[in-house]
Amino acid sequence: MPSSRRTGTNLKFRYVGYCDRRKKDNYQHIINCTKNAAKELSEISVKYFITSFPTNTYSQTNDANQLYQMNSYDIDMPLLKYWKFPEHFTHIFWIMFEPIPGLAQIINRTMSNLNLVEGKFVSAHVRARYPVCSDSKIFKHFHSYCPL
Amino acid sequence: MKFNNTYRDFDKNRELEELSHLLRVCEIGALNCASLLREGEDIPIFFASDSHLMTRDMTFESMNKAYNVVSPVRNIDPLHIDRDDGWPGSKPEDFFNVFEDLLIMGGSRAVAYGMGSFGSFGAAISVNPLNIAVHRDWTGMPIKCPNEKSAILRVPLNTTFTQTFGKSETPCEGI
Repeated sequence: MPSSRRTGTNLKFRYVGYCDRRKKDNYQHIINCTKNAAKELSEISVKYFITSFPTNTYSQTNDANQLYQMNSYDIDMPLLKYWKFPEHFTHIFWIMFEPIPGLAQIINRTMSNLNLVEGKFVSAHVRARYPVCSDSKIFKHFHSYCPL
Repeated sequence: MKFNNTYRDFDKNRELEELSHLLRVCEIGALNCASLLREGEDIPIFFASDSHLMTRDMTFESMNKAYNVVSPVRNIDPLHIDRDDGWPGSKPEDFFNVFEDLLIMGGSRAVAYGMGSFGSFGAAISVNPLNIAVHRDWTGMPIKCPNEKSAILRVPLNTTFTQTFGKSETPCEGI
């Protein structure tokens, strides 16, 4: 496994099962399979598990998120209305991806020039271009890009 | 290289006028929200935008120096990569500054963002993805921080799908 750029940790996986799509009643099977696997995982020290759902319907995606969160947080979980990216998305991202050398050099040079040290600055982002049509309430010029 | 995209073809003077207006409307909100995220510490604010004019103004305007705003100086806007064939003839390195902004945001302690998913993506890969501030609502109107959109309300872990969301269409009860 690649190392995390930030933590330098190496994740170690233990195979505990695979919830596949081949059996009858796919969806119920995967729900039950994942529940059982999550229960087993909760009793051992290695807690990484991969599952998949048959389709990407709204209800199944919701259930997958619910199942995922219920087994991923210690005490509580975000209410769906207040959903943001999962808390550990950042760790997954930095384990899975790293910039190519040329891009990494640019980033390091920019951060060095701006005196930015990782974890010791905050960021602000403003989307100024590529408006959605609701922007036309504020910016009259954008009306020309919106359907009547 | 000349890019062909309808969004970029509007008159430059009107573009500057609109961006100037946008700057006035959004900059204070964005910087105030980001400033709250500093929690009293004197640390810089990295400012990113899809307009290089906005980042330039943010960096050089004296009023913003009170916030210690820093941003790379560029002569072109970062390109959006979500449009199929929106940039014919482009090379991978033409998009480097998009990833530069994203990954630098990912190195920050907290992120204030408004509309679109780019800022929220940067927040998601930041050092503390729960430490966020939202400075515009979904209609584009600026909102003051702190606000409810920046909160992440939580429910106990043993809350079932039915208890939280009402009757479920799927067999998720009892999880």
